[in-house]
Amino acid sequence: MKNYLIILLPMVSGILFSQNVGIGTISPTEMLEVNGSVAVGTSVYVNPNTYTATPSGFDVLAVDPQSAIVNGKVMKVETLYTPIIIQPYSISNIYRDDLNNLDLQIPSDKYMVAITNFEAVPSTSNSSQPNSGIYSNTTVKGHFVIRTFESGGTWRVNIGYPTLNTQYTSGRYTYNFDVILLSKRFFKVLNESVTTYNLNGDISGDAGTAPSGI
Amino acid sequence: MRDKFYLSLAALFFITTNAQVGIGINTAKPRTDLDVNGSFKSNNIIAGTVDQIGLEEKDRYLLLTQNTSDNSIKKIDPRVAGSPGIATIATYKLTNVGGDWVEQFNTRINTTDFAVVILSAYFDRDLSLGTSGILAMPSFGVRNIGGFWNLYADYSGMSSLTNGTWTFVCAIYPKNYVKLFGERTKSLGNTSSGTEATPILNP
Repeated sequence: MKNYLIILLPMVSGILFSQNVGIGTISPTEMLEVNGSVAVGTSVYVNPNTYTATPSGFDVLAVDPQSAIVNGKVMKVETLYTPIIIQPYSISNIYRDDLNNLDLQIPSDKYMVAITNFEAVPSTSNSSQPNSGIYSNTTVKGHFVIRTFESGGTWRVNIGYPTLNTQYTSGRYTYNFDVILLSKRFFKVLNESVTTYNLNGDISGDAGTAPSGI
Repeated sequence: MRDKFYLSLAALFFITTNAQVGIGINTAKPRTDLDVNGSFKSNNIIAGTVDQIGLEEKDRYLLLTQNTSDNSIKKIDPRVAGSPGIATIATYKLTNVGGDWVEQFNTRINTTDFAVVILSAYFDRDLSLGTSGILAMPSFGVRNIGGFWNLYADYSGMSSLTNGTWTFVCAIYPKNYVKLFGERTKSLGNTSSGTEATPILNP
């Protein structure tokens, strides 16, 4: 270990380093080059360089707040453990249109989930009773719900027409959608109580102020 | 400048070596090859090896950002009060709207600094229509009105018998991270498919 501690301090005029300094290297190519690890007790300042090139040309940097020896090891985020995870789902053989509670088994204390890219594909388990879609022969046309909700500490998916149905009980649906998994370590999740507004029967309204902390 | 010069001089007196580990600046017990007990400033940092996030760190790592005013490197942790994330996920619940219609709801989120995207939205009660045989598709989204993002939603041509609730799940992105292009319009010329002539992502 001692062999690596070759310190070159070619000091000119007392204190100012005018030549490159190497720690653990005898041929530093930068003003200070450390052949090993560097720990900094408080802040790190770097004159900014804006990166402008193809999206594949850089890595996003991250920090591990619980790294060994010195907390705060700088690491790079690569394709395995990204801040955003998108999971496509295809849920088939749904009874009529009612996907009431699909437990994604994703803990709601650490993650927020959103669903998007929705597609509904009708089918039937009885070929003499076709599934022609959501059925209503009255003036009541129902309402379509697509949402995620928390129950028992995990995220659930609910998609369907709660008050209407397919014409026949043999109707089946396949629902295709993407689940976007957003970790609360990267995304701020506002409590619904902050963003609920009563429009008092009007068709327009005003929040007054934008949510704070965004 | 002169003050900083003397600070550097003071720090040098604390340069210590430890045969077991490394060089310490302002510390007698360096934990790594070079350990600076204080701040570090540089014009450029070139890291030879930056390990990638692995199984051990995947559930605890935080992203780094650089403060544009003082150039300091900081971690972002949206779980800390008052600290933003790379986006904010907000669930807007608008109750007692005019039937099923929200023409515009001003979130007061400005369009200069933020992009807002609706991830999903739904209405909570039945729509009705005087004549049977006609349905409407739900439409919802955000539009820029006077420099603020406004929510809108409606089952066009239909209404509910009572005033209902629209629930919107929105992603609010600071434009530091998200680029928002202007709207593109295209006519399909009475057909059902089309092709983008100039894709937004140029390789």
